[in-house]
Amino acid sequence: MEPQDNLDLIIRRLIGPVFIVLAIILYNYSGSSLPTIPDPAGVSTADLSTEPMRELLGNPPVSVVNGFERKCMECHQLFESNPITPEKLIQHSNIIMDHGMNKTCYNCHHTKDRNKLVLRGGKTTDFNNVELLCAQCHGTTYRDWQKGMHGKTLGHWDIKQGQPEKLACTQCHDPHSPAFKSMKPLPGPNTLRMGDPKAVKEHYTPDHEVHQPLRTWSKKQSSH
Amino acid sequence: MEDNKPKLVNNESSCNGNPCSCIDAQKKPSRRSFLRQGLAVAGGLAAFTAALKPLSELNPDDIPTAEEFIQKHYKEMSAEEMESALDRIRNDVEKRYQVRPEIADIKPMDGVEFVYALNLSRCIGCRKCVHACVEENNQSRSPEIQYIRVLEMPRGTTDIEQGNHHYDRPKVPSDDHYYMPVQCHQCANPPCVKVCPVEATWQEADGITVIDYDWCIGCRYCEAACPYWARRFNFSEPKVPSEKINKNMSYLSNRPRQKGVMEKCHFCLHRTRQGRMPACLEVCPTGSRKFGNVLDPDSEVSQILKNKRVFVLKEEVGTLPRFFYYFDERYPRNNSEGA
Repeated sequence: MEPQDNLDLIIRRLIGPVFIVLAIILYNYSGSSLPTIPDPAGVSTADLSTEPMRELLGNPPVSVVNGFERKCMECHQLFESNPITPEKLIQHSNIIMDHGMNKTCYNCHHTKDRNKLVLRGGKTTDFNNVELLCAQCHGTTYRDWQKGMHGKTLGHWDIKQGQPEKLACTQCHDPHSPAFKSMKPLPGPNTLRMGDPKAVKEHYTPDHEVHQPLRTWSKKQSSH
Repeated sequence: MEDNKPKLVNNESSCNGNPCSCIDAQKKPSRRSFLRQGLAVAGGLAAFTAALKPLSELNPDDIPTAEEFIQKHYKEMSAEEMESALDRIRNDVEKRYQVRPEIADIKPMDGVEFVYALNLSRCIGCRKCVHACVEENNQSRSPEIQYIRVLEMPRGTTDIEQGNHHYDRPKVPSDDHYYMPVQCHQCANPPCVKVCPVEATWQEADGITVIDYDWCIGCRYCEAACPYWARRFNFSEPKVPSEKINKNMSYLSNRPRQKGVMEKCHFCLHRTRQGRMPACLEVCPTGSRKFGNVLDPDSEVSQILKNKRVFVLKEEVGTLPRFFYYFDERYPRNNSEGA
């Protein structure tokens, strides 16, 4: 027999068993299980509210005290106030004064007319134009706000299709404690191809806070 | 079965023209050759069925319909063809999610080029933008797909290799970090568009790089080409709870995607092409995010580009992003000054 025939014979003899083995392998491995899919993060609709951070009290302001709506002048017409702000306010106990050097009431509020705010040079403004008061000290921020470089604008970017809604200073900042408050972050990525969050957390110590998100997997391997 | 083939070819020469036993052998196969051939056939059939097994797990709804199959490229579709494609999508979405969407194909506006600006001095890393985006754009909840990635960066560097997107703190911001959200930068010179072999992704007149999810073949070249890691791939069937579906949809933006296609941020074009703000901007509690038309010199973004200190991420790779980072001239955020 020629070598060609010999090869032919070997193939003919082997082809059956090879097919069977292949079939067994394919049958066991086809459609093998996908990686486990992480559970979605729980985020409530309240977390994603687009409402401004603070609700304004109106002009003139109306606040709710012990379940009753109160206007400023209902009390302040009758009672004199201490021109020096005491360490702790007795009446307005909800107000926390943390506005840097600016910590006396009459820096901003009118001594007689509580529906007004005071500007430099004895001028007054009302609560609808609070930015004029803030601008007295925060000039550069006011300049930025006017041009939309500071602050938040809701509504429409295109005035042909709708009005922009520019938020006032006090819709984000508490005027008595204006620094933006820290908050709990919403859950981080738990996504395929974004790396394993646990692998990073294991290394999350104050001494070692530098992370390389692109290399999370290799880092995990090298730690073992 | 003793070497049939050569004998058939050389029939006369090998048998010298005589009536030949090999022809009988061909008609009546020996027991051995019968078993061997039978075994081979059975094995072959088994292998064939095993190879076809994944087909049995296929959801009939995943098989493209004839209509879907002959659908033209987005740019070649006439208005009527687009309307019928939208009808098909309406029915598909209703079947999958029991929600009838309001879907349209919203075209770019004339004289508009969108630009995004983000104030790094203000961002506190709360990740509200990430999740508002997921809700707005019908991204898969399981596995999670998120277009925005917020990097927690050590102060004093812009080396994003040192950023961490898995930060988990009781409160943000941390005193020693700043936060840098990264999403699609809608580049003017987009590498993702260049590498797409089927032109399933392209840049529109208003600067938004879009994806036709019906045209994408899922090769993920664009994902590899993007220097900002902005593209996300649907490795498995995207899952969105029916009650979470956002009904306001557009063909090129937030209509539900299928398994095996790419997706990414599109500046909420179904909102922004109708004059509204993107969802990530509306939810931002700090006002760090700014969006608008850069061709309008009075727009917020134009003013920022003109007056603020602005930079783009990875300027050196030449992608010309339309997403700008800027910061304020001011004392550090957590400095309790002046008391």
